[in-house]
Amino acid sequence: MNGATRTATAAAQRSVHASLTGHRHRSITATIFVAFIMLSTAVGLISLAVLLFTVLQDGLPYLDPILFTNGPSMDPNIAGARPAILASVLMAVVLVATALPVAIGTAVYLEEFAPKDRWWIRLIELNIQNLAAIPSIIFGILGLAFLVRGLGLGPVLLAGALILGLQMLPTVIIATREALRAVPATVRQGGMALGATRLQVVRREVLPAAIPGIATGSILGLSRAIGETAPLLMVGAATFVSFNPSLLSQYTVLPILIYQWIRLPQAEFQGLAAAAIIVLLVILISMNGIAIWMRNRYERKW
Amino acid sequence: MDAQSDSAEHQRPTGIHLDAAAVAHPAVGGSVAPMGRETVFDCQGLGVRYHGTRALRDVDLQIHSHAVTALIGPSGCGKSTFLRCLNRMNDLIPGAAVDGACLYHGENLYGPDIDAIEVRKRIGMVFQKPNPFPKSIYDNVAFGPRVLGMKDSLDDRVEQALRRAALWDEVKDRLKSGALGLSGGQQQRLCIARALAVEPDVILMDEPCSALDPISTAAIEDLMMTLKNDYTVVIVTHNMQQAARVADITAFFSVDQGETGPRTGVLIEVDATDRIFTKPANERTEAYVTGRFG
Amino acid sequence: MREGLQEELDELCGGIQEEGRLTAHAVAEATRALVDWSVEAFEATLAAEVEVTQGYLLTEQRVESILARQAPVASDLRLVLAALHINRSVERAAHNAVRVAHLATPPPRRALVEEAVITDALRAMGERGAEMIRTAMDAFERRDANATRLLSTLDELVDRENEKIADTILAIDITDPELRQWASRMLFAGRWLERVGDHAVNVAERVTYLVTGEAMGRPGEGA
Repeated sequence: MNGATRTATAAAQRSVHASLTGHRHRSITATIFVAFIMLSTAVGLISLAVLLFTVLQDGLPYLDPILFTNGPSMDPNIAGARPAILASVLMAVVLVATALPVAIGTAVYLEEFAPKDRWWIRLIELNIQNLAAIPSIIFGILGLAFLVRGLGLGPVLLAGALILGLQMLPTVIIATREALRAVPATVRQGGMALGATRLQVVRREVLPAAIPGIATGSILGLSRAIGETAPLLMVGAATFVSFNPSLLSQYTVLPILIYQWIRLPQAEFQGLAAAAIIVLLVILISMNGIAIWMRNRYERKW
Repeated sequence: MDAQSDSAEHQRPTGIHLDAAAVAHPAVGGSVAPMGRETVFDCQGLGVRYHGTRALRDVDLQIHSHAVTALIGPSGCGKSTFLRCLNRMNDLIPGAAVDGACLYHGENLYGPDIDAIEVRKRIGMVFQKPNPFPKSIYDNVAFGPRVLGMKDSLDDRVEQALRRAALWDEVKDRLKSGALGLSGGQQQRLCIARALAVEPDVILMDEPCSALDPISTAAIEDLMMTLKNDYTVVIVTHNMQQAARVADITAFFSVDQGETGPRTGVLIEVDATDRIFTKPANERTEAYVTGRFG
Repeated sequence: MREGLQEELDELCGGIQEEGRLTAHAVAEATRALVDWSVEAFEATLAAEVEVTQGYLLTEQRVESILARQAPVASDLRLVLAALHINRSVERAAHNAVRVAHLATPPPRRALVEEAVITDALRAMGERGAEMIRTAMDAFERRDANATRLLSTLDELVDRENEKIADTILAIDITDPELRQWASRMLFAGRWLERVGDHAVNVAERVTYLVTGEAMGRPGEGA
């Protein structure tokens, strides 16, 4: 190899080296962008941390057995949240028994069986999307007019549960449809090609495959309903209930009790409200935890 | 076709078994329809439209038992559409309409009294991408027999199907583990086993190897050669060499570009695979197999 | 893996082996017809050659089919190419046997010593030729790359017998027309039998190519 060639080769190597090592200092826009998204994340995390810290600081001293065993009282020393906790649990049970089957059924029909090119199906789909965007207070007004007064149910737990269920429907329907859509079309084709009917394919393959998604969506919808206040205020959830609730009795629920306690002047009630918030948070977090656990469990299995 | 509810009594039409050499070399006989093989499908003027747009027209094609028939052709030539006509999978596509006749053992699959579900029990299908159900290996194979009510000696049925699909030895110790844990090639053989478990008469394969590596492809191709001893096998493949390797009969589809109308799939030529790849009769076939077109 | 191709290759080789067996038989029978004037051997030669020709055509068709359908590569490709050549050599050898058989004529008994020398040489050539075909086919069966050397040596012996025939014919009295006619026929017979040996060597060379991938005299290849 002569001198000239060697020089040329070395130059080529340098240029390859330069192009591969690239520019160490990325543009200023990129740096700003990264800083912005990190800041955004920090805002959320810090607010949450402050909130949790304050609630725990205020509420932990009041988190005692009395809170779970006693009914409400004007004396903060003996006031408890038992009827409200029980009502919230009962409400969850009613929601699971009524709203979930309806929502999942609707989603399965729309996703697997409905003729998608018909105008009335598209109208239904559009309305479900819209329902999800309606403010919860409107559901409360509907419940008041239709269930409490129209059907004459009165301000009972069942009426509250039904209206929460109605509000929950679009969320669960949309989540379930997403879960069903995530099941590959090839699974359906595979089943149909074996001579299975559409119903058999949905029941044996599609639904089981979609369960993690459906469960996650359902539990998230449910936990949102359990934390809901506004529509229940409209359909007449009482603020002072000292007896254990039943389906057709007056009732109060945790969020409403918290709302009531916070409005009272005594400092002790502020603490009690914080304690009730902790209870509500634990319930909601465990429900979300179950959702995450179910999703992971199914994902790990397959 | 009578709706046979008792599928255990379902009889596969028994063709005369040829000796291996004659099956492997249909071209030596020089005939498209070798002696001893019966006509399973007889398509007469078969065509398909999607939302009124013609995708396939006037296919006259006979498919014979105990042979591998390959459908080849460029993209959009309607070969997959045609395959889906054979077990009425096109019914599942909104807007698809089939015209002409497709006789299956003399019975028109598109006749007024025909139940598509019954058709699909007899004519199994394997898809382009392996699509095992997210269940155990065992449950995948048992799916068909279970939904069709063939519940007697299910274990034997599953084992038989896995053996025929040349997968038994690889999975016999982990039948209860998830099917999605298998390799792509194993998954595709599982899908074949799943189709075999309902004792079909015909196996349709829609580009069964296009998602697989060469080793798995070779395994599936070997399997096709074995399967034709007991079944009628029809494959769609975009890989001409695959058709050349495994098929006894090859049908070449192509696209007709109308002056104003849409592109329509047509059957150009069907012949013994040896002839298609050595001296095709139609110049369009020649242009395609030599790689000068498509 | 690729059982289909393997099956077809096995069939191809099986067919060629059968051709080889028939060709060796044809050469032996032709020699018997030539030197023992056996009509039965003459007919056996023709019958064997007809079969070889059929086998030749079938093999050619198989090669065509394998190339068109299986796209063989590496050792499979070499096998198919070698098969094509071997098929041709074997068929040519069988054809030579027929030519030899057609030359069968009893000696005129005018030069007894020379006639005996020539007949013995032809018999030796024929027997050796048949043996060489068998050896070459055996080498093909066993993928024995070393048979070329052995067969080349044998071929030299055949050539030497052929030269001996030519020398002997030169030594006899050619003025006798009957003797001259017989001698010229035997000269041709020797020539065709000598070609049989060459074909056997060709077969062995193709086997060497099949095994090693190296063909003698190919440009751009080592030594």
